[in-house]
Amino acid sequence: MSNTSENPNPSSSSAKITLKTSDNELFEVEEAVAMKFCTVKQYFEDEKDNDVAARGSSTVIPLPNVHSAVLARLISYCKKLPQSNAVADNHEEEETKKKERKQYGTPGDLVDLISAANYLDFKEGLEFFNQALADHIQNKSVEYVRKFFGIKGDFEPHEEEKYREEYAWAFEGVDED
Amino acid sequence: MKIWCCLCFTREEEEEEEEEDVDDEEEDKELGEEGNSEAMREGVFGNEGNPEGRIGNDDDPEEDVERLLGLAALSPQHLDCDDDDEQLRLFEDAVVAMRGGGGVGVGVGGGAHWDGAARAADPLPFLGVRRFEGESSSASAETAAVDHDRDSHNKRAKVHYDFHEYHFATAVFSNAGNSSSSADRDYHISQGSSFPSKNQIFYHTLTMSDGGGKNSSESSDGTDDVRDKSGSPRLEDFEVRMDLTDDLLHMVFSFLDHTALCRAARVCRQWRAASAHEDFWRCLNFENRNISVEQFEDMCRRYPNATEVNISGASIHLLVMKAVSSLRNLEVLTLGRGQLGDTFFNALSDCYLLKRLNVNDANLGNSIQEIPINHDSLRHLQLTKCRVMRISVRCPQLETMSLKRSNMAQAVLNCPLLHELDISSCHKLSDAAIRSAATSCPQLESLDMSNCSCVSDETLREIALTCANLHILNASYCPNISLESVRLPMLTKLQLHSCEGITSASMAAVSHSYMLEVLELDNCSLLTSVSLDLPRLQNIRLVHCRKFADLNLRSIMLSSIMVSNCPALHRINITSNALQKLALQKQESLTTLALQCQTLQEVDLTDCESLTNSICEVFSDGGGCPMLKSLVLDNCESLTAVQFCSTSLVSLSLVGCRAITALNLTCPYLEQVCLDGCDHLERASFCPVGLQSLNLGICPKLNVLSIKAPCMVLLELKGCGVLSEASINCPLLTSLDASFCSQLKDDCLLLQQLLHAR
Repeated sequence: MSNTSENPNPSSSSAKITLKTSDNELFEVEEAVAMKFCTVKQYFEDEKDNDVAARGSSTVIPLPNVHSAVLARLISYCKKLPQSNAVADNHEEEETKKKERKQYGTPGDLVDLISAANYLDFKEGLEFFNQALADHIQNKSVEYVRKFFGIKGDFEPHEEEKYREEYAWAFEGVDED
Repeated sequence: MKIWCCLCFTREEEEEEEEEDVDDEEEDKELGEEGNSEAMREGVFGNEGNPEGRIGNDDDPEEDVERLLGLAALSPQHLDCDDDDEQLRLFEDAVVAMRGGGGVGVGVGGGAHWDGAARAADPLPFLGVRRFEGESSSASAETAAVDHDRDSHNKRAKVHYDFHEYHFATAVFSNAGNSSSSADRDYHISQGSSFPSKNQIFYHTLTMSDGGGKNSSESSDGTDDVRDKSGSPRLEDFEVRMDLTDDLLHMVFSFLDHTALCRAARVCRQWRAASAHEDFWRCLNFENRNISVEQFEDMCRRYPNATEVNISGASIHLLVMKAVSSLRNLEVLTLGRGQLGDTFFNALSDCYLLKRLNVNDANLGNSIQEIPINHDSLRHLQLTKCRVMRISVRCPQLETMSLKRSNMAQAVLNCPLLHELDISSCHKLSDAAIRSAATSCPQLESLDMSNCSCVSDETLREIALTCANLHILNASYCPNISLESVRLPMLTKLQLHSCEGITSASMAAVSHSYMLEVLELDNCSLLTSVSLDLPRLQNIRLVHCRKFADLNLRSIMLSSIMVSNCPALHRINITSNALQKLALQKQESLTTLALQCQTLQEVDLTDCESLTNSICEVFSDGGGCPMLKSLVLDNCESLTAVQFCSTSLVSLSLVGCRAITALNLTCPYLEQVCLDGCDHLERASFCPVGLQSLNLGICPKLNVLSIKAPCMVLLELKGCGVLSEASINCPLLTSLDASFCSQLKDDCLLLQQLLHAR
């Protein structure tokens, strides 16, 4: 994984930025992709302002909170993002997006991706992965959610009962799947 | 991490209201650090002994272990040190040590921040020790910080700040080591753009201990089995992920609706706490939910700062009275499907922040009394589909009001600022009631009175006089209006669908609205002609106008014309500089079309059966459409001889024009022509055209053909059995199929170039 060029077409002339993950992997990514991560962008701009000597292609930006496996997925997601910000809000679009979100598998993966996206201040990704995780909660039964997220219920039966009573309005006529 | 964020928050927002001891300590520590680094900077400049630093560091004898973190390791030494260089060296060592610390003392929790091999340095053990001690006390600090954090809306700031400042810290200090002058400069830069950067290192130490604290407190939550993956060191994983857990849940939960939140709350304690955050319950939306008064009261108690309430159903009166009495910050109130007593309307003024009141499908009062709606700050009022006898609205700030489909017979308005009024389908409002309601709103800009069948011209004249600012008027389905003597000079949009009273005489009134941009006259069945010269008109609709015969429009801004199903329409004259596309499909009576449209690019006249050959002049050069690119004349069965001479035309369709016998095209840029169904074509001339391929085999009666097409590659004449004369000048032609052209003689063909190519 070291020194992997994530760019499938090396012909593009855009500048590359090297990112270094917590496990010391180096990622060379296109500037356009890296600039989606506001944290990197910020670092890069500060670098330009402050440290003229150290500037240049050799700059390695450390990302001490991001594991290489997560970064690789984030970068590949980033590349799939549509170039234009055309907001197509029709139903079909929403359905395909929902399917797309389902690809991002287990809650653990998503939690990693969200943490990393949050750290990198990568807005589109953050929203996407948050929504993906929310999809696993919306319209799902409590048992499903517990199983999916690997959480053990820690309520006493009477607490559970009390909550159900207080919030009875929320639990009527809801289809769970 | 939480604490660190909290620090940032307190610094930036200058929150004063922290009551927890921990937060106070944080505050102290922060001061201490600030002073300390201040001193450090002095050191760099050569001025030592800044007392502030000392005070900041020493004033609190009961220093928390955490407080000492980093500070204790660095500041006493350097403050007491006489030698500047020594100071710097020590400090640099500290920095280096911390950067490399991932491997040694700090190795577990915050290790993720500090990559690279560990480099031994003096203050490090100090840090390490502190860190482990810090774990025990940090749990309480963390809870406080979490609480505090919840209140801040700045949920996302924390981690990347961290990054940012890390960078600054290294930049500043490493430069300081190289030369003092550069340190000077760098310092100013860093201070300007990120003030807390100097203290950044200390924040990091805090971060680490908090990470530890949180680990121990949360590993019992049961969430750990989810996170523990891929064989990476457990604690390190926890440091990052656990830290984000509450935060992350907050972000994820923000995508959930109320019912999903309530279900999530049953998963575990942590989720319940996260789901109960006030952020998610600003809008208490119980629309179509069967909530009891007790449950609702409970929610109001739990979220007293809610700004929106949405309730519906039989018991809305009881519920809304609870809301009005307990939610002081209510701004939006939406009620539906039930009965509202007059006590509610009397209590309304208690919600002094209320901006918007929506009531839909409800019985107001006991149906004989007048309902008063008096409120000093209400901006928007909607009483739609309500059953009520009379209403009286006295709202000095009201901007928009809709009474759509309500059945009151009287509406008394005292709303001087109202600029948008919708009384559509208020069938019981009399002409006089409408007049008095509208004329009491002098600022009115938009009025929708569609389906108020009793509105008279007299009322419109009154409204026009009082509401001089009226921009938008919808008087559709008002059969009695003719617009006679109505003058609406500011009008930009006029909708008059299905108005029986609108005739060509009404256009005289419309022509006075010289600001008019949109005019809709659909289904005006008595309208016979429209002749308007309105400089700003952009959009006109005339659909299903049974008797409409003559359209004459002069408007340089006109960009959209929707004319269809006007069976009597026979003459159209349009002058516009903005029209790009004109579609007049199936205007069966249309015989005359005159266009002066400089930007017109597309014309579709499909099924205009009465169009005669003279139409060709309109679309030829000099005919008024210099930009025309695409022309569709499908099924125009009255065309017999078509002749176009155009330097702009690119595409022409004559599908199904069965009466055409002669076709003469002088269109050098024509790239596409469709002649399917032109069965009677006898003489065709394409001199010149830009076509690349052409199939004339579909024209069995073709007799004389002349083609001059410099780009033509493929020509098909297969089946032109009576073709006797052909002049073909196509230098690039590579394929010519003239089979079954029995009448064609070799000397008829001008095929030199083709033969040459062969």
